[in-house]
Amino acid sequence: MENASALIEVKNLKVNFFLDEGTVEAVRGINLNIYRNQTLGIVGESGCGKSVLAQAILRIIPYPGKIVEGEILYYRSDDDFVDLVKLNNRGKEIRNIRGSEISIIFQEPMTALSPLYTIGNQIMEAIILHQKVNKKEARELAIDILSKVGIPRPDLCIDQYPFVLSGGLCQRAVIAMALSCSPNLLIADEPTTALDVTIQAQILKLFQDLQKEFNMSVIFITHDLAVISEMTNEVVVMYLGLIVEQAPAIEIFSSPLHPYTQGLLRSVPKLGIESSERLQSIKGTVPDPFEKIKGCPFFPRCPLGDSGICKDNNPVLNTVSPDHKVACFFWDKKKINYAK
Amino acid sequence: MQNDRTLLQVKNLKKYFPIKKGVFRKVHGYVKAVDDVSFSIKKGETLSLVGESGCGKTTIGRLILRAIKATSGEIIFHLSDKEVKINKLHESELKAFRKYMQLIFQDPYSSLNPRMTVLEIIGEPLLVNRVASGKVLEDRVVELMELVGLNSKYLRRYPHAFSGGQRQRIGVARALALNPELVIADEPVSALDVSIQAQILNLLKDIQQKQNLTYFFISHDLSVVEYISDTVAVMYVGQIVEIAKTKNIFNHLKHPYTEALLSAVPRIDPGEKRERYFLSGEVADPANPPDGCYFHPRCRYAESICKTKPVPLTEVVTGHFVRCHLAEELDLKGI
Repeated sequence: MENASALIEVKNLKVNFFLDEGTVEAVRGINLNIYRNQTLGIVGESGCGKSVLAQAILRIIPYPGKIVEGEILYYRSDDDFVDLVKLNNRGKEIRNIRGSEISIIFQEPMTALSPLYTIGNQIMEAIILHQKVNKKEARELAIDILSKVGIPRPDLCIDQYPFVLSGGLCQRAVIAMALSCSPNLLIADEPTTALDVTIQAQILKLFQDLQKEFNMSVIFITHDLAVISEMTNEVVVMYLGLIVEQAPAIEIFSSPLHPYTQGLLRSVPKLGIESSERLQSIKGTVPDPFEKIKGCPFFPRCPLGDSGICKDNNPVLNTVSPDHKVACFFWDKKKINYAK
Repeated sequence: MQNDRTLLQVKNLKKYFPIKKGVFRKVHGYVKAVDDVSFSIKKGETLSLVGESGCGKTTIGRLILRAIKATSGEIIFHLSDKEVKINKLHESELKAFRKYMQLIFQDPYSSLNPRMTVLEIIGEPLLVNRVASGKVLEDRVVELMELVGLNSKYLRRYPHAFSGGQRQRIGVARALALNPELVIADEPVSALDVSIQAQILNLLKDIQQKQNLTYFFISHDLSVVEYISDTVAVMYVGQIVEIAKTKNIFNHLKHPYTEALLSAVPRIDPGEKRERYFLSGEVADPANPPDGCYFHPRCRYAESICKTKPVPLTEVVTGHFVRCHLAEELDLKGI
C-alpha cells in the first residue's frame, strides 16, 4: 500500500455537534489516508464517530453538526485535488461529486429507498443527474447495473416499488444506485447489519466482485469485527472520535496492540469455542457524549490503565511498525499474545 | 442443575394466518407461519431457535406466551404440581398463569416506557399481579437491580438516563420480577454493541445458574446461540429442520440448511481462506411453499425425491432430529 496513491486524505478532522445541552465532539482530530482500490474498514461501537466521519467526507453532516477544523483532500488525479471541507455543502461542486464520484450505501435498505418511486425511477434519477443521457438510455443503464448486482430479471424489477422486494433485493438495488455512476469511492455504512446471515454472505461476496470490476476504493464501516476481517485490507479502530489503532487486517486480528481492540476481540462469541468459557467483556460503557475528555478516552474502561499518565494525557497515534499505528502509552508493555 | 424435569412441551404446533382479500374479506389462503413444530425444554436449560427472518421464530415465542392463539397443536407447561395446557386456558385463567412466563425484548429503546421511572418499570409486574406494593415492592426492585448489575441509587431515574446495555438490564430485571419459570428472550442482544452484548450474555448465563431459570432464546446470530444454549432448533419456513444438542448441531450437523447457515457466518480468521458455500435465492414464501422439501430449490444436494415428497422430522441419532431425505447419506461440514 505504500506506493499507491491516495484518493482521500483526511487531515486533523474535527466535527462538533452544537446542541442545546452542550457540544458533542463527535470526531476529535482524525488523520487518515484512503488509497486507490483499497478497502478500508472502520470499526467501533455506536457513538465512536465512524458514521460522522463518512458523512463529513460527503459533506452531509446533519444540522447542528459542523466541521470545525481540518481538511479532506480529494484527489481526482495526483495533482488535481479539492478540499471538500472548503466547498459549500449545498454548492454545485459538491453535488457533482456526491453520488457520482463518491457515493454511500446506508444500513437500512428499506428506509434508504423512497416508497413512492419505483426502483428504476430512483436509479435513473442518479444517472440522469450525473451523466449526459436521455431517459431511454438511462433506463438501459439502470437495467444493466441491476443485472450486475445480481438481481434476477432486472427488466421486470426496475418497475417494482421497494416494498415488493425483500430486504436483500432492496439492498442490491441500493448498491446498484450507488454504483450507477462508477464512483471512485464507495462508502458502505453498515451495509449488511440489517440483513440475515445468508443474505449478508451474498452481499459481501457481491461487494468483493464489484470492487474488482469497478476499480474503486471502499470504506467499509461496521461494528461487526468478523465482517471487517473478511472484507478489508486495512482496519481502523475508532473510540470516542479518535483512531486508537490502525493496521492491516491480518495484523489487527492476530496481534492487536491497543487494549480496546483486544477487548473487542475477546468479547465476541466465536463459533467453535467451548461455551463453558465466559465471554470477557469490556467493563463499563462508553461515556456520556457531553463529557469533556482530557486524558486517554479509553482510560476509564482500560484494564491496564495507569492513573498517572493515562488519566491526564491523551496518547497520540504512534507508528510502532511500518504499517501499524496505535494510540496507547503502554502498547509494548501489555502485549498480550492474542491467539486462540 | 440438570434435573431432568421437562418444563415446556410443544406438540404439533401450527399457526396459520389467513390471507383476506376483496370487499367481503374472503379468505384466499393461509400463511403457514408455524407448521407442525414439536420440541420440549427441560427445566434449567436453554433452547435456542435460529433461522432467517420470516421463518416463524418470533411467532412461536408469541404462541407460547399466548399473545396469539395457535391454530392447532398443544403447548403444555409442567409446573411442579400441575400440568397446564396453555392453548386451552380460558381468558380468565390466562392472566394468573402469565406470571410463570416472561419476555425480554429485542430493542431496549422501545421496550421501556419513557415516562416511567425504573422503579415503576420493574415494579409494574409486581403491582399488576398484586404480589407486592409500597416498601416491599421497593425492596424487591432494589434487589432485582442489584441482581442485574445496576446501581440501586438510580431507582427513580427515567430510561433516557441509561445506556443501551443498562436499559437491557432493566428489561431483564423486569422479566425476572415475578420469579418466572420460563423466560422468552427474543433477540435480546442483537440491538447492542459487541462489548455490551458480552456483558448481557454473561448476565443471562449467571442468572440462569443462580436461579435455575429456563430460557427460550430466539436469535439469528449463530455464535451467540452456540454460546448460550443447550439445545438448538433450526427453523426454515415455519418448520424445524434440525434439532439437537448444541454440540451436535455445530459439529455433527445433518441438514444442508444448517450447513449453509454456518458457512454464511463471517469469521475472524485473518489470512485463512475457507471454502464457503453460498445459498442462492431467497427464503420460500410461507403462503405458497414449494412442493416436497421446502428447502429443495436452494439446496445443493437436492435430488428428484426432494422435489416431490414432503419430509417428516426423523430421529437420525438419539436426540438428533432432522428433516431431510438424504440425512443419512450426506457428510456435511461443521465448524
